[in-house]
Amino acid sequence: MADWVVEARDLQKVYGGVEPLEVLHDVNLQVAPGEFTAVVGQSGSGKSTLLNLIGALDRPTAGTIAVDGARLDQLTDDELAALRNTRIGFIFQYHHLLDDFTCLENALMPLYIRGTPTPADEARVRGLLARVGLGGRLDHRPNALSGGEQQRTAVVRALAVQPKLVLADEPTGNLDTHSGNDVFALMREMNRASGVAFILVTHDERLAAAAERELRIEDGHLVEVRRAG
Amino acid sequence: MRFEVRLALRHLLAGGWQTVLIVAGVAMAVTLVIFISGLIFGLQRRIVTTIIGTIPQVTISPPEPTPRVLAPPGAPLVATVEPRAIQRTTIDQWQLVTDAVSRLPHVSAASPEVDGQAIITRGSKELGVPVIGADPDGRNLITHLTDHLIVGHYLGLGMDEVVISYQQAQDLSVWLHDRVSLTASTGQIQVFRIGGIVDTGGFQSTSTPIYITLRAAQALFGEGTDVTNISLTLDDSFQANAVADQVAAIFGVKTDSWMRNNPQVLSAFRAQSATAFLISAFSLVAAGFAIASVLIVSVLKRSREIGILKAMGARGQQVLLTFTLEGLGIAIVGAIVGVFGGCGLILLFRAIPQPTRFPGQTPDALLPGIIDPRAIGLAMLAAIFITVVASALPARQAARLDPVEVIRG
Ligand SMILES: Nc1ncnc2c1ncn2[C@@H]1O[C@H](COP(=O)(O)OP(=O)(O)OP(=O)(O)O)[C@@H](O)[C@H]1O
Ligand SMILES: [Mg+2]
Repeated sequence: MADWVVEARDLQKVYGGVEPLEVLHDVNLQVAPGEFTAVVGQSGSGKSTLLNLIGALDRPTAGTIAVDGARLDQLTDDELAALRNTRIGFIFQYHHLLDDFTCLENALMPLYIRGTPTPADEARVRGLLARVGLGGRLDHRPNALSGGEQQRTAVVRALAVQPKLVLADEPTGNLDTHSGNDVFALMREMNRASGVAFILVTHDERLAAAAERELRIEDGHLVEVRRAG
Repeated sequence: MRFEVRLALRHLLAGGWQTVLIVAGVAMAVTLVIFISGLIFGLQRRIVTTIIGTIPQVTISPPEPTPRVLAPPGAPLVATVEPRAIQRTTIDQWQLVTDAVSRLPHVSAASPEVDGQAIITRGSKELGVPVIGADPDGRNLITHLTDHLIVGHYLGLGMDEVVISYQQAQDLSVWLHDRVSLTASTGQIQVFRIGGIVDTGGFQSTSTPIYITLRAAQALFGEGTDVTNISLTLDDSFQANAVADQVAAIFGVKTDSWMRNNPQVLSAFRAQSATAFLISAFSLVAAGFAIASVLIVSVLKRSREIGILKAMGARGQQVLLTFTLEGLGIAIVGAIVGVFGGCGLILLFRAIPQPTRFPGQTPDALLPGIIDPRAIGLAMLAAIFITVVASALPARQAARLDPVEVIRG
């Protein structure tokens, strides 16, 4: 097993254009397996940018990233896709479920992308859905679910492939406090139960404080705010 | 089930009425292609069988008299070219030629004949008509007179019997067993009985031939035991020129083919075929545009979904395949429905009868479309090909989509 689930060195990200904008500068980050990290920062500070780089959705201008030991800059597009599919789970601010598929099918989607889910996979996902309180909603379409239920489905979907790392970009940003707390508690519980590392971007200081570790992006730099002993 | 198939199916089902409409569009295009081509080729086949099918496709006649140089080589030339005094009007060794020709490829029947021109008279009424004197068994393979008999017979025609057309019978006011006399161009006159009356679709009494036996014609036209020409029919009407050229080259005789004698029919066929092709092509291309536009809308509508799938590890190739399959699904269902539609339409129009020309005639179909499996296969393949082409653009657009753009929200 790799020592770090995420190891980023000297990351720089500059968005091109008429006025080049350096969003990230000299960012170094190491995330241990099973660690629950919160990233905070002002709007526009580059939190999503960082998450997209770690999630292999975007490439850094300079520096290297390794996810679960695999150097992203050394992989082809198809290998990156495979890596996202097998080792990373994504949760976005807007739930981003597929409207034409049921709750269960949505949760199974990363497995479908890979092929046909095994009965064991399917049983595990059903179990997760039952644990997040969606056992009775398996055949419902997303538009029949509440925002909180949709986001809980998305959490299960992120965990469906048993990834090493879950990247969550303001997953509670669109929910009321109660549902937000629910979803956060769920992620925390899953983190403890499965040993999956989480990187959670949030504006909510309370949630950040409840994480094991808290990072802040300031002026393009990543600053360690707090780390649980 | 593969992911791409699962996704494409779900998209089509979720499309609801939109999917139904676009499938109907493809089905209509395929229906049109099958109907139009079936109709045009059916009409052409009817023309071939009713007009071309009743005339010989290739006719062999004696060689054209060649002017001969009379002076020996090297002698001074003095007004040397003279036409032969007597033109040959019969074919040398016609039995041998008939045998040899009937063994050539594509030749399905060869009928030695004495043909001429005569005046057919009944009382005060008379008509100048072409006369074909041939063995009925052989000639029937060319003209299929027995298919067009209204009364009487052709096979087993007696020496003193003649077969005339319905129109001629009307013009002469004669019917079966009535007597008529034939006056040959040589002045020879013979009396015949009406042995049969046919309807070959011709309307002009004076250009429609009448039929007597070979022996009767040899006697009427004073040809002894000679024949004036050999008529051929082919297994493929459109090989007529090739066969005619081949026969001319081998036997040193003059040949004619229906294709050379009826250039207007051929050019009409070509014009019809081109029209059918154009209509087919345009309707298929229109269907292709419709599919493309539906898929472009589908891709736009689903860009969020495509982005999320790619973030979750779907490869560009998978997205490409998904939308291509979506187009293919539309095309295959549309093509199948279209085949039923096209065949149904052809059968429907075949059931509508044409007005009959004489009492008791079995009516022909007004529009004799044919259901040609090759045309059907081709229409389906074309529809599917067009769809794949049409879905290429939207599918590539989908495959190239950058998930980051979408996730940004
Ligand atoms: N594709 C792009 N081209 C140019 N600039 C970009 C692009 N993407 C992001 N930016 C800029 O980079 C900066 C960081 O964006 P990012 O989305 O990472 O911020 P964020 O911290 O996630 O903000 P928020 O809390 O509002 O989500 C912003 O100023 C943004 O305008
Ligand atoms: Mg953001």
